[in-house]
Amino acid sequence: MTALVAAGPNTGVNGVGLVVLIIFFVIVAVAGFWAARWRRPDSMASLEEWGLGGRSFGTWITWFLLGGDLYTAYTFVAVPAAMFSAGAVSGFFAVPYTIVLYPIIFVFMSRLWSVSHRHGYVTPADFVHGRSGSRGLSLAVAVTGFLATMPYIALQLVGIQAVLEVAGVGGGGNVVAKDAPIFIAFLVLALYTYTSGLRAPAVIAFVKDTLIYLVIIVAVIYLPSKVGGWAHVFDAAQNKMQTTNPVTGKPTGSFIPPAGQYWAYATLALGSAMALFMYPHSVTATLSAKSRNTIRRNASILPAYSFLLGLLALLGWVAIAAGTKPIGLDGKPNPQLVVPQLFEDFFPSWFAGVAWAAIAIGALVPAAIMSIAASNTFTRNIYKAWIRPEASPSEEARVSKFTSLVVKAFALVFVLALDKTNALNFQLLGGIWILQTFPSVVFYLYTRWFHRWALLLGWAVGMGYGTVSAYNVINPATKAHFGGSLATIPGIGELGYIALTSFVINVVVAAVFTVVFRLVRAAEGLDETIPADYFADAGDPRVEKIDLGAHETTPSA
Amino acid sequence: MESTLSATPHHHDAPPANTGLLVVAGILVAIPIVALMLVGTYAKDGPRLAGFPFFIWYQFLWVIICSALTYAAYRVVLKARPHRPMNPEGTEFLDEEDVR
Repeated sequence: MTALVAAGPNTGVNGVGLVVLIIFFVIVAVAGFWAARWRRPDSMASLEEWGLGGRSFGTWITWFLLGGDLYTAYTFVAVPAAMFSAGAVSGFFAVPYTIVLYPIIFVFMSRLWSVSHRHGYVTPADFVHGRSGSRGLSLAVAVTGFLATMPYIALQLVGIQAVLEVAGVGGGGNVVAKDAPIFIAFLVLALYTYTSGLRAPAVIAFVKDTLIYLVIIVAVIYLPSKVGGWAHVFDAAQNKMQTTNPVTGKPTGSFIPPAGQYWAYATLALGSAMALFMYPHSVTATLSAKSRNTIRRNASILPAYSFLLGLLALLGWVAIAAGTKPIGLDGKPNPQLVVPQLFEDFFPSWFAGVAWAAIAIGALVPAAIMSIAASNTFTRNIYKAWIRPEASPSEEARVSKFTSLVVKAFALVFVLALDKTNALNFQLLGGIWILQTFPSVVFYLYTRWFHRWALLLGWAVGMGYGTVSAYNVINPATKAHFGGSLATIPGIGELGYIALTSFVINVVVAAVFTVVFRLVRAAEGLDETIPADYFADAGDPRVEKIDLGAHETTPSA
Repeated sequence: MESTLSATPHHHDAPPANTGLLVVAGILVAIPIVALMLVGTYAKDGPRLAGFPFFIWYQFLWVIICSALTYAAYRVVLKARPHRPMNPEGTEFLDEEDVR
């Protein structure tokens, strides 16, 4: 911290920081295009290569890729923002969430890897199709995954926007000038994802994660000393959370969860952890690993990112002590700006630029993987399964590449044209919806006891219940629907995460109707897997698919 | 693993495993989940550590414990069910003599 460049006024453009941000963006773009040559395959014209990087990534690449994929820019912006404005229950649950996540995936992801390796599955819905023999159930899983991923991609843009806004660009009344930077960023992202596939985010993840680690370590050592030490930070947070909110008449937030919110805290953590690896993009990054044990080893080294996330969350409280004023370019307070603003206030401009680059690049990696995963889902489970069963691998890759462009264009429109709260509401719903595919994906890894139609019914009930419950949550300040993800758990009477309540209802319905369908001897689907598939490793033979076309391998749905 | 289609032939079965060790691995990964779900056990301010409330540093501690437990479970699982390669047809696992 020697070359302390005087920071410009908060409202203006931070020239030095912006230049640093642009330099990093250019480096990353070059790396993204170069990635097509990295571990170059004979041909990029298949989903195995374009969409899964040839299933060739070892422990360290997978670690960077999954870390870059799961800990998104939105997390880095939204978690500290929640800590800043509402406290521990809304924000710090992300820490137990990303801790219990890894024991959970340790248990079942190696099985999913093995069976996918044997059968060439690319998406969770591919597996559900092969295991259940039900096109309907597979479609339900695919559509849920696709719909839940879309707002997630859109929210990466919100992360980039937060950085740009603090840097001073994106303001003004002119619509073109306002949105031009984000438009250019997404166009470049779309192009290198198109050419390099999953290899692009894999390469960029190295840059992203290195920057993030650097910035966070500097931030947690340097910033607290500037605002009076950690003890003072916590006192300031406690004071703010205890003050009464004039609108609701309740405390502003929670410093430490009170007894009435234990269920909320625990269910948010557990529900989010169970849901995360149901998202297609998490599965994509997992299946790109080269061996069964890569993912298990990763389950024990990925928590390094959880530590990072916890420290980042605390920056929300550091901002309270520092008196950070996250005011947007429109002059209104916007808590999402709190971390970028904190960086601008305390770091020299050039390092603020590095920090912003870390967040912005942090958006590009997951956005790329999510769009690839959503495209693969569309191609495999909608296009090939329902529209063109005879599609060849190269046609699949072509469709997927094109879809990845469409998906990103859609996300751009979503954020720029619609109100941002739409993206946030939709994301909240996405988290509730995606957990409803858990029984189909995870239970099927172990047992076929559940009847496929019962699983479909359970999914439908869970989706319906979750959507209605989330709609009925009213924000006390704005009176808007989709005011949060907590609702009273029927029968327990405590607030809990809606996704988990819906999941329990989903499982009960699936179990009851499994018994009913067995009693009436409803047709069972054809299982194309054998128990040994769930233990296969790299080097074991792949199942040769006889090219029948999807309609012939699936007798009924 | 059950099959609802027909009696599963022997060669389709999973590789042999030491059930006791699998249970141990299961317990190892269950510990952090149970510990963190019991929010009442750690939702308190004191004792503070270097200024950090108990609530905060306790959860940070579990990041490290969980990592260690998951790694231990990984080693145990490798021992409980060593990988058996498949035959070239992918229909059965090779016997120990074949592997050697």
